[in-house]
Amino acid sequence: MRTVTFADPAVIRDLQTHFVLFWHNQMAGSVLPPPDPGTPEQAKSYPEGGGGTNVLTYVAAPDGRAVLRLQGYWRPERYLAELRFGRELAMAVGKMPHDPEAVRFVADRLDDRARLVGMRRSEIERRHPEVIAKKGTESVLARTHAALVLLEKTLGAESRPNLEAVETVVNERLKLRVFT
Amino acid sequence: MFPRLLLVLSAGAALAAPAPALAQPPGDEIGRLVAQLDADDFRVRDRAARRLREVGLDTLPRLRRAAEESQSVEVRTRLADLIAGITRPGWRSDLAAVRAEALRTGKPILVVSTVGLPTGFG
Repeated sequence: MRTVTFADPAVIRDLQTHFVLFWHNQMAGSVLPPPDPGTPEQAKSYPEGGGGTNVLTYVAAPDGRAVLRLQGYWRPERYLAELRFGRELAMAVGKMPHDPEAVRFVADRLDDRARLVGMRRSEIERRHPEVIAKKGTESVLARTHAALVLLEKTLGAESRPNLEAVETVVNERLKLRVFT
Repeated sequence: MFPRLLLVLSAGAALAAPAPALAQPPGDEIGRLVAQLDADDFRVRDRAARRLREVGLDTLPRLRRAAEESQSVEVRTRLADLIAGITRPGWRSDLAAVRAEALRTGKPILVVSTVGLPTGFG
């Protein structure tokens, strides 16, 4: 993410323009060594969505309610697209009171988006059934398919922050201490 | 219904559309400024660096190329400093301050949670 996505001018511009940025170290106070970031060339070949919980992105409304969670490494184009979606969702939620209706509103939007991603994944599987058996890095199409599978999963109900406060979301990560 | 439709449409467009192209300032000016980073006169070097910093992200491809191609260690060092300054998105680690700024500006918050302290954050 650092050597590719966060070094991309379009991503930097988007972050600087549209967000208040908070970086959180999952390892604060831990004795675990940081992972080797690798070279830019290695980073470019890394499968999108991979990396487990080593990198987590959350988008929250201006009042701090988290609406979107993305897990893993993403290349600039897809990361930007998800940030745009998250930003629009966050701004819409920012105008709503904190109630079950707002939670349902976000869940519906995430369902819609996961469905959209699922449709693209299904389309690839229908046209190119061979990609299902391939590993994520074997071809551009297989990489795209693997990324869509991971994105669909990360947008799914089990990964959602459900409008919890960013403090809660971040502290829960620390309690879990799951480094994969 | 309307906001939902908007978000769905936006989701579809975002998944399909590539990132918008960046507007580039005149290449000649950037080339001239990059060359001036190697000037003998400190004031010329300083002025060129300031101007490149002002232009900001639009200079990035040229600065990176110049950093790769330059034979001068000094110029490469200056370019590396400039690139680092321009590409720093402005990550902060004080959540209370971030919350206050988001409320004040009405901007959403982006949280990136990583293992360890990767260079380039901060």
